[in-house]
Amino acid sequence: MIMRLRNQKGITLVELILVIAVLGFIMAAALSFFLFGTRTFTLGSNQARVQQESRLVTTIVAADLRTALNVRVFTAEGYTPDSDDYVVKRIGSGPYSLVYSRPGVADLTTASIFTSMSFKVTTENSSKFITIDAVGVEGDRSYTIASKMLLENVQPGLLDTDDVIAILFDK
Amino acid sequence: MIRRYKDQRGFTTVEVIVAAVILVIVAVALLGLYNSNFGWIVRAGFRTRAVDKAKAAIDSRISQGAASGASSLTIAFGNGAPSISIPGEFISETGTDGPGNSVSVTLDSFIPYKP
Repeated sequence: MIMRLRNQKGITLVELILVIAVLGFIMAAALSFFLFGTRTFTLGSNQARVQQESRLVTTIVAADLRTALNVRVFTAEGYTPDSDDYVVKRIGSGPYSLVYSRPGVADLTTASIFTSMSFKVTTENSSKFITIDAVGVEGDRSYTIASKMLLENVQPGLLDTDDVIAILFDK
Repeated sequence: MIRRYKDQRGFTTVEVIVAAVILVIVAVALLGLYNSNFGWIVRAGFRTRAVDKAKAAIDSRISQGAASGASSLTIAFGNGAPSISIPGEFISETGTDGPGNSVSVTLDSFIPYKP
């Protein structure tokens, strides 16, 4: 035991500096690896979120609006929905979000990330179509979605309309 | 015990540096995973848009109605029960999106024929 402790030559200053330098390089490489990872993760999660919310807009509307009855569209506030009405409406004054209210079910609301969101009623082959355009922005990522769907059971009397802010319908 | 500790030759500086360089090369290669993850998220977004385009095209065809009842959709119940045959047209529409329309989605549907 004593023999071992006696042989303490230690390390020279040059060796110490060399070790610190090599360790420094390794740490720098590891840090940049870590920073790149977090940056890409943020980028990816922003992109995923903006796409998810955008898809919600078209999926919500597409699922129920396609077979909706008695569709009414409004270009300004001041409409009064009945208790059994389904309501799809844009809220906010930029950024916008979409709210979907159904009788007896909790409202579904997207995040308020849409710099633009428009609904439009058009006619094609004497059938009515609804077009939804939305641009979502999250961080420095943006995503544009455009969806156009046929209204299968729409009653006559629905006129072509731009700048729709609310769609009311029955099921 | 003492004998074992005496033989401490360790690594040379060159060996340590070579090991560090190899580590960095492997790490950089792994960084590609981050990029490809992000790429796949973006690609999923292109796919969503491609599906929307294909759906819109299908809806447009449905609004036109079937041109003829040449094909028919047959629903068979088996067990000797009579089957149901609906004249109409099978349609297929493709939506593309992404740089150079690299992502494409094809949807199929059926339009019953109204004489």
